[in-house]
Amino acid sequence: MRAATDAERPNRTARGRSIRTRLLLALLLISLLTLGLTTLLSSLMDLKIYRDNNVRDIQVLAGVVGDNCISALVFDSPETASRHLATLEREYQVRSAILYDDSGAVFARWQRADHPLASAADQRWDRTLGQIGVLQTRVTATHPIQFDGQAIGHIVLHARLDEMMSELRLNALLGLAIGLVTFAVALIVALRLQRRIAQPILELAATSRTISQQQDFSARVKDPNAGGEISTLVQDFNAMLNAIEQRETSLQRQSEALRQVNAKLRRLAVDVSVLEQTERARLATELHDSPMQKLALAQMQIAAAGSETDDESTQLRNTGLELLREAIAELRTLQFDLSPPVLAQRGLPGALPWLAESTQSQWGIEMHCEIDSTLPELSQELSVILYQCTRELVYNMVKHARARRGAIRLGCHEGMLLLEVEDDGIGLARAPMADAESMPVTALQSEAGSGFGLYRVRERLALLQGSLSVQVLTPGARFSIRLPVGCDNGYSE
Amino acid sequence: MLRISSILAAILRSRRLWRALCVILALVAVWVPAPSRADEALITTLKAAYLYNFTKFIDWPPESLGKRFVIAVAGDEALTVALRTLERQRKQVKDLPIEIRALEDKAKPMACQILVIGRGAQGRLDQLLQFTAGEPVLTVGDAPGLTSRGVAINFTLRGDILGEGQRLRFQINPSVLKGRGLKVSAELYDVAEIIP
Repeated sequence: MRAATDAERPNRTARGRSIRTRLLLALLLISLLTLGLTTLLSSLMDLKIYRDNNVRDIQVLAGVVGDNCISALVFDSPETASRHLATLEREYQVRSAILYDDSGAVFARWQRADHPLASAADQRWDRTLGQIGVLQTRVTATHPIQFDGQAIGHIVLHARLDEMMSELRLNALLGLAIGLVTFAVALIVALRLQRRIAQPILELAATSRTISQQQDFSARVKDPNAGGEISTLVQDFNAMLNAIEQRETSLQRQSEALRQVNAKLRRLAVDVSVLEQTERARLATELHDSPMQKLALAQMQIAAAGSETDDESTQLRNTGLELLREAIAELRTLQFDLSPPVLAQRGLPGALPWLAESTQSQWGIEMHCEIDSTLPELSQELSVILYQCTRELVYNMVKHARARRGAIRLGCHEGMLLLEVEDDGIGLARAPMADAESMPVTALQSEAGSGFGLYRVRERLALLQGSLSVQVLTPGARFSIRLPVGCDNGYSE
Repeated sequence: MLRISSILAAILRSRRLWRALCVILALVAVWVPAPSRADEALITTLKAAYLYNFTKFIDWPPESLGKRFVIAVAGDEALTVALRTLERQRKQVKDLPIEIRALEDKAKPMACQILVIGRGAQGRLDQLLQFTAGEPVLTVGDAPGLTSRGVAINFTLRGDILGEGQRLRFQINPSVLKGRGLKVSAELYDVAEIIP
């Protein structure tokens, strides 16, 4: 009940009338106007028919009485004519009758005794509404009298249709009574009708307010199934809510995706920082473990040799120089590991065979490299990323797989760029997996024992809509990188 | 005052005076002024018109009608002259031309539809009625008391006590009309004095 009251409030106009009240007033006004006009027209028609009939009766009466007076006129008998005129006493509407002879002189006359003059009310009526034709109560009928083909006079009857006044009053009372009854019936019917008509609009308004207050776009207005404008309004309103809800859902999805991308970017930023630190530490360890030791020993050997020319000094000097050459070679290898010049010169198809050869010569693992000749040209950025991912997988193989043979393959398959690194090592200790995507990164990391490596590869590939999967072989394992062809366009920007 | 009242009382008590007053009142009551010469002509014209109008309210047996509608007049030359006006006006009755015939003294009435018996033929009234007895002839008289003697319609004069507004009236004897086979409209009875 309270909800209904709240629903009605917004529909009130500035003049303080609700839709229901205005509908009620409109229905009542139309009903009363229709009834009033119908009653008025019906009354006027009744009065006209009544008056026409009476006028015709009085004209017929004038003809009959006039014909009866023919012999009186012919034989000059006014008393006979008066006797005939006196028979009009029975016709209560006739007030007076005058019989004229052929010269126009009054031959006989009769006048009702009980109503010699019109009453004051009759005179007022004659001055006002009596001017209207259909409401005129005074009637004059004239009838010519002929005898032997000649006019011998005429008769004039004056009548007053008093019954018409009572008929009019009766009609007015009847119309008033019908009007009151109709008003009551129309009020009851209109109250019920306007409730049925206004209810869907009120529900619509209530739903609209609920939505605006609670921001709940899942609410819907029940279709009254009444057809017409209200059903159309409700259906359109619900369709608008559907559109708003879909847009809201889409916005929420996009917002969630944006939030996830932001989180990923933040993680990548941290990862990049950690990676840099790791690389620096690895570089420092590499420099400290071998080149720096060798340089320091070479410095000591050469310093001990001094400028002496004996054999021992010469041996020390030669040993120092050998150590210097080894250090220089290691530093060059280190430089190549970080960024091989062949990658910049010949691209990924040239760098991957160099990586295979370098791995084989450095770690003694028999490496095999296959490059698809139909490979499309790759951008420099994509080549660098793919090289770093491949190097990470090869480094992972060298470090953990205990493999004797390995292979690197680059080609296209079903519109995807496919890069595989395969070995015959110990593989993964856990159960075989068909797809690494289904395994958490942390689990894969711990399984591979590569710490940061595989996670870093997956994150880089994810930025290019690529994927990394691992397949357990017997023996060994196969890591597969899949990238859509042309994925580097967006990345390069 | 006493003297005047005593004189008036003496006059009212006089029987001779009362007798003279009653005679005067009786004379006034029965006095009908004699019509003047102009009134006589007017009355004659009216009689002619009435005679013509009678034919509109009376039906004759068809077999009694010939080629002309004959009105015979006995003993009234003035009326004959007035009726000839109708003849000259080529008036018709029952689609027949009117013919006016004056009936000579002692002549037998010829075949006619109306026989007017004027004041000049009062002497042989019975003879004329006897000649036309049983015939479909409308007999019209012009003297008081003729309807009781067998005349069908008889003209009379009626006026007020002072002699003004005299009107020509007529009496009808329905039994005579019925005996002669004539059918009379009720309207004619309406304006006539019925003599049973």
